[in-house]
Amino acid sequence: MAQSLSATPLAAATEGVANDVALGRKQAWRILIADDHEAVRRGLRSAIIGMGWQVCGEARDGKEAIEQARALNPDLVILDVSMPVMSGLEAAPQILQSAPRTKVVAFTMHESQQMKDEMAKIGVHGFAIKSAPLAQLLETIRSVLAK
Amino acid sequence: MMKSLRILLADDHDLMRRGLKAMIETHPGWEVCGEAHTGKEAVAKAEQLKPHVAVLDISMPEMDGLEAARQIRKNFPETEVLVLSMHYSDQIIREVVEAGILGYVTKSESDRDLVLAVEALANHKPFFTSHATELMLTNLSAAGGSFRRGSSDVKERLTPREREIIRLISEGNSSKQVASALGISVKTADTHRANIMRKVQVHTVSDLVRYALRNKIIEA
Repeated sequence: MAQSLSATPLAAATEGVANDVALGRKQAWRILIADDHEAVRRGLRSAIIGMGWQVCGEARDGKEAIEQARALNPDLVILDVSMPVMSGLEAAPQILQSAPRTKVVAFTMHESQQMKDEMAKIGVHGFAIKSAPLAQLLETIRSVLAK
Repeated sequence: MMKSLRILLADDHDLMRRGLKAMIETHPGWEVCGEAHTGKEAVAKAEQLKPHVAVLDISMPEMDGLEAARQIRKNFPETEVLVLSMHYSDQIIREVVEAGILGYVTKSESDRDLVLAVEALANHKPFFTSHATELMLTNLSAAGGSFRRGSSDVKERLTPREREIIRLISEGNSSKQVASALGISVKTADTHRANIMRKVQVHTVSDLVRYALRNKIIEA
């Protein structure tokens, strides 16, 4: 696999996508967004589409995320940890169980080693911070999908 | 009705800014004429772009949204300001009202209230949600008609510089790092720190962080 020599996370993510295409890997990944804030969902949607990926669905709480994951079988779910009705922490195991092909990236406001450890125990594939630069989030998604 | 409404967006989180922009630009005739990552940049762009409405996140580096809002309202009175925060706080509401800012919405309510708020402000009308209004009225009634100070622990109001220093300390910065971030001497940073701890009546950094969380100077 080509090594990324790009200096910035956005360049790395973009270069990573180009590498995937060059190597014949599937590029139009289908991503489900689960977050209770519309502004966050819209921001993610815009960024994901900008990378040439697809947003196959959106959910506003953990329960909806499980239902959508079962129905849509996305390649990846971006799962906000803190949501009403059912949190991402509660939803993640059910998503992983009912859609075993689907990868999950946990998404939270602040970095917390404890949260990361809990999510890793559940089997979540990646962890991203909402306050980080967008390019970093995109690179996290890309690298999880590329594994 | 204005032909084109020009809106300045200020939030230090890329994702939130992008999402707010998408929400605003689905409204016909509205355009995001500029974006800022810090309060300081927001004030500079308000001067340069003269937007009709400035939407400011309250928690930003290099001058928080409240101080930026005060400066924009003072220097560019034609620009209305909408302040966004993660959670409600008595202190924030008090400061918003006292600064002459007509709009305040929490981010969790922005889904339904952002557009309504911008519409109201575009017509120079105030926009506060029913929850914010209830908090304001409770404050007024409890204080016998005048707006009571947010926390009974604070005998003197914190200055914008002090609020910034609290934020930096809460993020784990040493006095040297605080001094470097603000372009002041370490001794001045230490003096500020001592004054802040005296004002808010705490003795440790942990207590200061708890104070900052309780009063929404930082967000959990």
